[in-house]
Amino acid sequence: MNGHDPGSLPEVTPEQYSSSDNAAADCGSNNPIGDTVTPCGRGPVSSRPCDLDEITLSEIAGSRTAGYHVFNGRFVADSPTSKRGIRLFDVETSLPKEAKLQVVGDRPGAQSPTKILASVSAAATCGPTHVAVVVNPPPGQSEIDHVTPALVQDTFTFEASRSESANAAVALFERYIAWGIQPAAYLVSATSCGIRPGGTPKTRGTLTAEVFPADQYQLSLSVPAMGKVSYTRERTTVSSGETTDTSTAEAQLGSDTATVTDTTDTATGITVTDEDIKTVPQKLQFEFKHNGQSGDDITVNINNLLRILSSAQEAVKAIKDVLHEWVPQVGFKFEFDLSFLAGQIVMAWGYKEYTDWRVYYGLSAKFSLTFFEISLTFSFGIQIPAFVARVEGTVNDSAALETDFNFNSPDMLIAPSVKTTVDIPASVSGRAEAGVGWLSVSVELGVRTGFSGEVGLRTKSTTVELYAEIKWEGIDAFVQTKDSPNRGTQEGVWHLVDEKSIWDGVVAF
Amino acid sequence: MQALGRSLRKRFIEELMARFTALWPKQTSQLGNGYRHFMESTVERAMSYGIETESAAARFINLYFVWGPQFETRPEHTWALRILNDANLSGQAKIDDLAFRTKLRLQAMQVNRRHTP
Repeated sequence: MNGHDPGSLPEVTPEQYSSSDNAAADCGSNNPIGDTVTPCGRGPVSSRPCDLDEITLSEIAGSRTAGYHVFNGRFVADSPTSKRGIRLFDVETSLPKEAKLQVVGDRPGAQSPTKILASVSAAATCGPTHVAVVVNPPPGQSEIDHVTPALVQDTFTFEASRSESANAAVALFERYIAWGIQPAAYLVSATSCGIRPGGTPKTRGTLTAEVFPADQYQLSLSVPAMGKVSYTRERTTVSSGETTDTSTAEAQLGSDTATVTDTTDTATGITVTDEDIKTVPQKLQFEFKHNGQSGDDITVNINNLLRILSSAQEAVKAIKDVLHEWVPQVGFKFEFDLSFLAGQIVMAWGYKEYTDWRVYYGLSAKFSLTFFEISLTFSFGIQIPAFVARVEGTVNDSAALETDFNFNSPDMLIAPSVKTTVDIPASVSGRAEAGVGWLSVSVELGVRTGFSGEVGLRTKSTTVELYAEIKWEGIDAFVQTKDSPNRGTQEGVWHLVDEKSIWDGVVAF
Repeated sequence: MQALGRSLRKRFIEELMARFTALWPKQTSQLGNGYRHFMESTVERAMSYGIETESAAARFINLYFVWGPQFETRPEHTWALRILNDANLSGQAKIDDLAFRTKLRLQAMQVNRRHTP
C-alpha cells in the first residue's frame, strides 16, 4: 500500500510530504474524534506568539584553525584538530538560512573519528523542550537528538563518517584517488520553540554537513632503465665455401640480463626470441602509503605496477621488431641501449580542508623521468649503385621530463599536462670499400637516421597517463660527390629502411 | 449520544477517505476493499497513542502513507515509537514532532540520494 517495502527508502520528497501533511491537517478539527466533523480545507492553524523570527545555522569560522602545506610530498596539517564547528544563531537575518559545511572524515568505526561540534546560543532557547537539535545521518546510521536546556549556552558533538566508493577501481591511482567518491551528507536541524501545544513549528534552520574521505595517499616509484638490446650478425665463409651465419641477441632489463644465442645455417632471417624481454626488473622500487602506513593491499598495487611495466616492455619489443624486419645486404652489428620510462615519480593526494572552509582535492606530484633514451651503435655494409661501403657510428640522445605539480587550493583545477618533443637526428659517415669512381675528386658517404616524436604526461578522467609517440626515422644512405673543385657538391640519396613507429601508446597509472 | 458519536466518526472516516484518495491515489487504490478498514484501524491506533483530535489523527494517517502501515513498529523507526509512547507529550505535540522529523528524514534521504554516484 505504502509504495515501498519495509526497510526501503520511500520515494516521497520532503515537499510532497509537507503538502500532504498540510492537507491532512486541514481535514478535521482540533476537537476529539466523534465530537464534530469539520470539513476538510478550513485553512492553516495559526502560529503561537512564542515563535522566533528566524533561526539560522552557520559555521564558527574562528574555530577553523587547521591549514595544510606540502612537506616531503605529503600534506601536513599546520595545527591538527579533530573538531569542526556549527553555530546556531537565534535571530541573525544576515546569515543564510541554509548553509553547507564541508569537512573531511574517516571511515565508520575509526579510532579517531572526525567530530562535528554543534553550539547552541542561550538566546535561542525558550523552554524545556527546545532548542531541539536533530542530526539526520546517511542511511545506516542512527539519528541523533539533542535538546538544549533553557537559557544555557550549550554544545554537543557527533561523529561524522566519510562515504565509501561504490565502484570497483580499475587503474592504480583510480583505486585510491577518490575523485569519484561523493561526500556523505549529515542534515543538521534546530528548532527554537520545539513542540508547542498547537500549530506547526516554524522556527527552525537546517544545515548540511558534507563529509569527504580524509584518506591521504603517497606513492613513490623508481623505475630502472629498461631494455638494453644488442644484436650482432656476422657472416663467415670458410675455405670449403660453406657459409655460417651467427646471430646473437642480448637484452637487459634493469640489472637482469638474458642472453640468447642462435646459430643457423640459413642465410636469411634473424633469430631473436622474446625470452630476453620477459625478465622483471630487479631494482624496481615501489612504495605506496595510505595515511602514512605502508602495506595497504600491496598485492594489488604490485600487480598494477607490473601491468604498467609490461607496457614498457612491449615498447622494447617493438623496437627489436623494427630491427628484425631489416636484413642488410652484407652483415651488420647493431647494438643499442634503451631506457624507457626510467626515473622517479613521487605523488601525494587526498581531500583537504582549505582555510575558507571549502574542501578541495589536493595533488602534489614530482616527475623526474627519462621517457626515452637511446644509444645506438651500428656497423654494417651498404650496397648502393656504384658503391659498396661500410658505415660505423653511434647515435645517442634522450627525451627527459622533470616537472612538479602542486594543486593545493580549491580553485585549482587538477589537470596536469606537460609534454616534450623527441628529436634525435643523426648522420654517420661511412667509408667506401669498392666502386668509387676514379673521376671523383672527393666522396662523402654515410647514412642518416634518427628518432622523433612526442612524450608527455596528462590526466584523463581519474587516471594519470604517461604517453609517447616515438618514431624511428628509418635509414637513408647518401653519397656526396664533387668531381671538380669548381663545381658544387652533388648528393645521391638511397632509402634503405622505412620509417617505423616505435611506440605509440599510453601507460595509465 | 453514543449513536451520534458513531455517526460523526463514520462521516469523519469518509472525509478522510475522500481526502487521501486525492492525496495518495496509487496507494489507496492498492488498498482496494480494505481501504475503509485501514482508515478505521489507523484512527484507532492513533487514539491508542493519545492522538485524539481529528486533525492530528489525519496527519498520523498521512504518515502511514509515507512510511507504511504501522511503520512505528519497525526497527528503523524506533524514533517514532519513542515519541508516540512519551507520556509527557500531548497528542498534538507528538504529531508535530513526528511530522517535523519525517520531513527532516526525507530531506536527508534526498540529499544522500543526490550524492550517491
